[in-house]
Order: sequence, then C-alpha cells, then structure tokens
Amino acid sequence: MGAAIVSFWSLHIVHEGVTARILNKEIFLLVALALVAVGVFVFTRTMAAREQRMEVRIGRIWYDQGKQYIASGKIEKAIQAFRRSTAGTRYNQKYALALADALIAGNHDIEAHQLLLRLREADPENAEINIYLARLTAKQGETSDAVRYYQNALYGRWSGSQIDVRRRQLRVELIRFLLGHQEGNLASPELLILETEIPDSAPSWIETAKLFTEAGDPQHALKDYSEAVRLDSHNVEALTGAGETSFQLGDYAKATQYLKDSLDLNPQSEKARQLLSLAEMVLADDPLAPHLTAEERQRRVIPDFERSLRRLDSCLNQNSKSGTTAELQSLKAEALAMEPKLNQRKHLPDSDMVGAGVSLIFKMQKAASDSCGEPSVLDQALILIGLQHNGARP
Amino acid sequence: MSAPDLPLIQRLRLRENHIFFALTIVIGIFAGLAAVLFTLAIKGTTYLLFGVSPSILRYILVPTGVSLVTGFLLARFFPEARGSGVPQTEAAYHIYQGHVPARVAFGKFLTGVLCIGSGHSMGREGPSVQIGAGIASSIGKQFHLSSERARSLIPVASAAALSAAFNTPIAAVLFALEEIIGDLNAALLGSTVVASVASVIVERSILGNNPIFHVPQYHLVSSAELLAYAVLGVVGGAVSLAFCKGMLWLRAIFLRMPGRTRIYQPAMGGLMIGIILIFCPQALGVGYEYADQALNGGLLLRTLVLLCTAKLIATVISYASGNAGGIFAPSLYLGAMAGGAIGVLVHRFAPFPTGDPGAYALVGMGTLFAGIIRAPMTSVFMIFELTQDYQVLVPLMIANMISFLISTRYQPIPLYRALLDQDHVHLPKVGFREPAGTWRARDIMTREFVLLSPVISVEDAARMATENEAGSFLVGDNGLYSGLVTRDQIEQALQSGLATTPISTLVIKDHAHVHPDQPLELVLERLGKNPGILPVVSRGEVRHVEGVITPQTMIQYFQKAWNGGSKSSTNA
Repeated sequence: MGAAIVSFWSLHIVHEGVTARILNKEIFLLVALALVAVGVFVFTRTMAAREQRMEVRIGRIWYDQGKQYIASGKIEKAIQAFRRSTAGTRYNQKYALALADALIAGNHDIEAHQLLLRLREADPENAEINIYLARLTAKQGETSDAVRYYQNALYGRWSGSQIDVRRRQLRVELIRFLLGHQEGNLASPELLILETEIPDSAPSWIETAKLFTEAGDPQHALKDYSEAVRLDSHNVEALTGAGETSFQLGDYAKATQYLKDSLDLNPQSEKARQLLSLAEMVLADDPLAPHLTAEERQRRVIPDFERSLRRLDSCLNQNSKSGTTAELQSLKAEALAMEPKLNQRKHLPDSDMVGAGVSLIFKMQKAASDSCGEPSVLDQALILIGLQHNGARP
Repeated sequence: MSAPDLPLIQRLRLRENHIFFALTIVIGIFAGLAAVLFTLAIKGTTYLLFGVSPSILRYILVPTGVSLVTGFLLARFFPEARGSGVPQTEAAYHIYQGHVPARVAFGKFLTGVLCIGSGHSMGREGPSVQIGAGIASSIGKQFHLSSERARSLIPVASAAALSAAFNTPIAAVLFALEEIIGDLNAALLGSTVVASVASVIVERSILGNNPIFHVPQYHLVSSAELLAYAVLGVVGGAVSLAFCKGMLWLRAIFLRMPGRTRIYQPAMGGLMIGIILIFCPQALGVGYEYADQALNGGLLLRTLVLLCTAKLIATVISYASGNAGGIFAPSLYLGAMAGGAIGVLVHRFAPFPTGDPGAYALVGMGTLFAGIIRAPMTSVFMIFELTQDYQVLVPLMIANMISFLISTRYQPIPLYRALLDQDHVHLPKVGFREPAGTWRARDIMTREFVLLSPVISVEDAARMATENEAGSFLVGDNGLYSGLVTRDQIEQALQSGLATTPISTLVIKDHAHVHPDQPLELVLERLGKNPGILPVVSRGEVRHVEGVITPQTMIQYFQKAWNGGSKSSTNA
C-alpha cells in the first residue's frame, strides 16, 4: 500500500503537467465517492431500521391475530398467522414459540421440530425451547432425545417468575415420562433430586411420594408421606398414602395407626377400611408377633392352622376330579402330621414349631388360593403373616 | 527499481492497477448498498400496496394498476430495464465494452421496485446485478479507464450486487465468472472476490447476518437415497424445461403483438397475476418465505404441487409480459416446491429409510437453478453456502447434473441467451475470445450496400439491380434488415409477370450472417452457404447491418492483403 501511495505522489510530483491534474481529479473522485458511500450507507441504515420497525408492527398484528385464532380453536389459521408474524421477525422467540406451539397442536410435527431446532441452535441453553423440544420428541416417542431435552431444560437458563416451581414441575413431568416408558432406573435419580427440591407443603411431598410408589420405592414413598403428615396431620391423602405404604412394607402397626387416622377424617374410604381391617387381622392373628407368651402363640396358631386346613380340604374336594391335587394332598398329609404337635397341651410348641406352623399355613393358603380362587380377608391376613415371616414379599 | 524510476507508460499502467483495485472496493460498496436499498424498497412497496391482509379487489387492482405505470415507464423511458437484468449485463460485458447507462440502472431500480412490489412473481437478484453494473459503469467512466478495465467492472459489480442481494458471497463470485463472463478461469477472480466481500460486509452491517433461508440440518439417511435424488434430478430437469419453454413461448407471443401494445403488455400480465393471487397468494413477489416453509417441511404434498405450478405460471406471465424482475428467486422457489414434493413422496413410499422432505427441497433448489440458469457450479456452491454442510454435496451434484443434462439436451440454448436472441442480441459463444492476428469479418466487409425497402415492387427492385453489380441484395426498413433477395429471384419474378408484387414476398429469411468479430474461416464457411452476400450484423441488434461481404469484397481484400502483407505481420 505504501508503494502505491508513493507511486501516486511521485507521479504527481515528477509530472506537473496534464498527468498531475488527472491524478488530482482521480483522488478527489475517490474521496468524493467515499463520502457519498458514507451518506448512502447512513440513509440505507435508516431505511433498514424503519423497515425493521414496520416488520415488528406487522409481526405483532399477526401474532395477536394468531392468538385469537388459537382461542377460537382455529389451529390452521393460527399457524398461518403465526407464520406471518415470524416472516419479518424471525428472531422474535415469543412469536416463534407461539408458532411452534400451534404447529404441534396442528400435528405439523416435522416443521415444529425444525423450527425448534433452529431456535435452539441460536440459544441452546434456553429452557423454554428445550421444553418444547422435549415434549415434541416425547410425543414422537424418541425417548433418549426427549430425556436429553428435558435435562437440557432443567439445567438450562430460565426466565420469568416462579422459576423453582416451574423447574420442579418440569422434573415431575420428566419423571412421569420416564415411568410411563418403564425407565424406572432413569427416574430414580431424578426422584432423589426432586426430593431435595420439595417445598414445605404437604401436597408436594404427597406428589413425590406417589412418584416413588410408582417407581417401586415404597421406603422413600413412606418417608415422604410421613413428612406430608408431619406438615399436615389432617391431610387424608397423606394419611392414607402413609397407611397403604406402611402396609405394603409390612409395618402393619404403623399402617393401622395411619389408616385409623385417615378413616377418622374420611370414614367413607372403603379401601382404607378394608386395608385397616386386614392390617388389624394380621396384627391380631400373628402367632409370631413379639412379646407373646407360649400359650398366646399356641392360642393364635391353632385356629389359623385349622382354618387353613379346612380351606385346603374344601379345595381338595373341589378339585378331586381334575387330577391336579397331588400338591394339595401332600400339603394335607404334612398338615395332619403337624397338627398334633401344635395341639399338645403338656408341652407347648416352641417358637420354631410355631414358625414351622406359620410356614405351613402360608403354603396351604397359597396353594388353595392358586387352585381355588381368591382368599377371604382372613385368609389374606394369614398369607400376609406367612409372607412377613418367610421374609418374602408378594 | 522504485516507482519514480519506472518509465512513464509503466507508471501509468501501475496507476491504473491501483485505481482499478480501489474501484473494485468502491463498486462493491455501492453495489451492495444499491442491492440492500432495492430489497428494502420492494418490501416497503409491497406493504404499502397490499397492506397486512389484502382483499381480493386489491389483489386484482394493484398488479394491474401499477403495471400500467411501469408499462408506460418501460416503454417510453427504460426499455432496457425489462426482464431480469442478467442477460442485459452479459450483453454489456460481451458486446458494449461494459457500458450500462446510468439511466438504465435508475430505471431498473424504479420499475423493479414497482413490478416486484406490486406482486409480480419475479426475483430481485437479476435487477440488482443490472443496477450494480450500471453504477459500476457510471463510476468507471469518471476514471477514464482503458476499455478492457472498464469492461472488467461489470462482473465485479455483478458479484457484489448478487452477494448483497442473496447473501452468498462465494456463489456470487462464481455466478459472475460462470454466467456473466462465461469462464471460470477468468483473471478477474481476485477483483470479484474483493468486491463481493466488500458488498457482503456492507449488507450484513445494515441487515445483520441473517441467512435468507433457515436451512434444516442435512442428513443422507441411507445411500439408497441417492437414487431418490437422481429422480429429483429428472423431475428438476423436466420442471426447468417446462419453465424455459413456457417462458420463451409466451414471450414470443407478446413480442409478436403490435408495437403499440407494448405499453399495455405489463398490465395484461398484471391482470393475470392478480387472478392467480386470488387463488394462490403465496405466488406473490419474491416468495422466499414459502420456499423457507418447504425447506422446513411445513407444506403438504398438494400445497407443494399447487405452489410449484402456480409460481411457474405466474413467473412466466410476469416475465413474458415485459415486467422488470428476475428469475433467480423464482427458480429457487420452484426448486424448493418440486424438491419438497419429491421428498414427501419418497418419505412416504420409499422402501428404504429417508431424510426429511426439507432436505429434498434444499437439493431441489439447486437442481432447478442448474436446470434454468445453467450455472451448475454456482448452484452447488450456493446450496453449500446456505447449508455449510459437506454432506449435501454428493446428492446435490447428482441431481444438478441430471437436471442440467436434461435441460441442455432439450433446450440447447440457455434461457438467458435465448431471451437475448428474442431481443435480436447475439452473445459470443461461451469461451469465445476475439482472435488476435487473424482476419475478422470487420476487416473484410464493405459498408457500401443497398438496402431494398420491402414495400417496393419487383419492377423497382429490378431497376435498382441494374444499377448495381451485386448478385444479391438486402431487404429492410429503417436501417434494420429482414432478409435478402437474389438477382435471379427478381428476374424470375419479372418473367412470371409479378412486376407489381412487393419485393417482401421474395425475401429469403433463412440465411446465414456473421458478426464483426468473427474470423475469416467462419466468414468463408457462411459465405458459401449464402447466395452471394453475407450480412455482417451487430451483436447488439442482429437486424442492424454494419456491412456486407460478397465474393468481390473477398477478392479485393485478398489483393490488398497480398500487397500489404498478412494481418498478423501488419499487426506486429
């Protein structure tokens, strides 16, 4: 460039005739053109800004129109209106998201997906865009993409009010999605995180407890129901949930307590009543319950045993022609052999004998239930007692 | 040796190099500004004329009414501003030594804004190129550049204008080389790149770096999809052909109409466009927003087919009726719709996994561009610049080449050239360079010839023939010839008792001609085909005879050359 300038000026200095005058004119022209270019540039920018304002105005008109169409259920017209709203104001996220929303509602999933991907490309951390993408991909059954977008949204940039509440709701949505797609192993860590974000309100704890129950984690569910009860001891849902979960975990004493409290507040709950009845029977009839005397154990085990034997007998009679009674016969033989040992008056059965009796009661009830249909409430109680002491869970 | 020590002639040449370099930047900036202003003015005019939600009456009245005004302007003041602007720019580069009057640039801006803004289905890129060329020519003139340098400013300005109008600087450079110059090896590569960059910087600093299309991420889902892209190439070629043939056919009809209707022809087109807009408002103007929708899979199959058909018809009508606007944008629109339609069908029926229909719409854009504009390299790079994705290249090249080959096979003359042919302008063949050191038609021809009026009788023609030794005569009016007639034909007509018949009934229209820059070999070849006379016609107006070559002029020239030495030796 320096050489060029030198050559320009040297020519001007050496030749002061015609050539020098041409040079002056050329430099003057270039400077003048530069000035004109600046002027035109400023003018064009002004025009562009004006045009941009016009586009914004048109965009707003179409956006409002689109919202009206949405309100009146005219999805296709709304899509057209939102498209026009974004035509001149492509980077208006509000309009673009309204369009995406309408497209999803109108089942234009491919276009909605493309639009959202484009928006995400420009702003990958935007929680709202990721939420839309998550819901759309969830709708399309793309589980791994949906989970990725949900997580991007959860850890993305949120705007607006009540961010914590909205974020928690989204996590709940993700957990429900995962549970709905049998992805309990992915749902569990999300649930544990959710547990740390629960505000001090019984409904929130109840909601989390329910999710834990769905995820097959009754221990955490009971913990959360208990917390809900602590916060609101008159919350029927929390009491019932705690009672049911305690029952599920085999803690019938606690279940009885919660269910009683629940029925006090809501006596119409038939389910709670049945569970309470069952739990009370388990507690009343369990021969292996702690702190029982030997007499008391015998007093409980004998009627349980005899009832089970009668049920087995009845079942054997029902199935006498079917030829599938070998297992039942064998159990009956075993029971008849054990019965005198349990009935001894001089030497009361020890706890091992009672345990063996409880085990046999369980087997008889189970076999009878498998072959002869649903057990009665008391039979259910006996099965539960057997399960509890065999360490098995249904 | 420093600059002041160089001989004066070398220093002057160095000075011109520097000025030319400075001018490429200046022209890049001005062409960019003009293209941006043109775009803004079109948008503003569209909004002004149609409002936000136009009524049916407005769809009819606006294009018709505005076209009455533009028809008057185009017929009376700016006849060179009709149509795209690219063919005119090519003619300016190849024929008129880079001269584009400032009046034409102004007229193109004004009429282009009115035509496209009033709903005509035309593009803004072609007019931007012509406006840029006009600005470059006007600026260049002030600097007294050599004719070759002045001519070089045309592709420089074209690249800059297209770069700003379409926001694809690399494709703009290639377009200038491939289409305007017709030579990808052109020495002007550096200058066009500089101007294109200057222009795109200006454009982005005003409008921001917003791509015209929101292009989805491209995926070639399976290699079997390449077959589907080959089918797209075939369909693209067919649509390109339909567009080109339809355009030339309808334009020929309009051109054949009496000259006094020229002023009303754009309004006739406007009325037809208005009717189309009532049923298909998506055909209005440039239409990039709908191409964008096709790219993003937002249109149903029947909508894609409907828009492709409506846009094709609308563009053909708008252009053929003599409005000002280009075919660059419509070809991309058509490509997006045709490609999108193929994409939907493939997506629905192909027995192999396929990508989204948007990917086909994207490739379709390049395919139609290659088929209609016939600039395959530009089309490949343009789509590549839009996507910035190498994956698109293979399917794009397959579809482009097939479309290009089909279009070339059934429409051998590219559309821009065919349009110029209809305007009686003959560009030199692609890659043609005026031969140095050989005899050319202009060296051999004589400017003394007789032009018989087509209305004179055979008898009068025979009388004039007796005063002249020539074996054949040109026939024409107002300095524009329409054919030729031989002495034998005149004599036979006299003997047949047709003495009072107008000479126009004998005119031979199917005959050869040469242009002044064509070499001796071609002159001899074509003279042999003609009956004793070979018209030497202007490239800019093939009906304008600059001179004639007859066997006598050939002999005279050979004798002169024999005595004076060969052309090459005289040149040397």
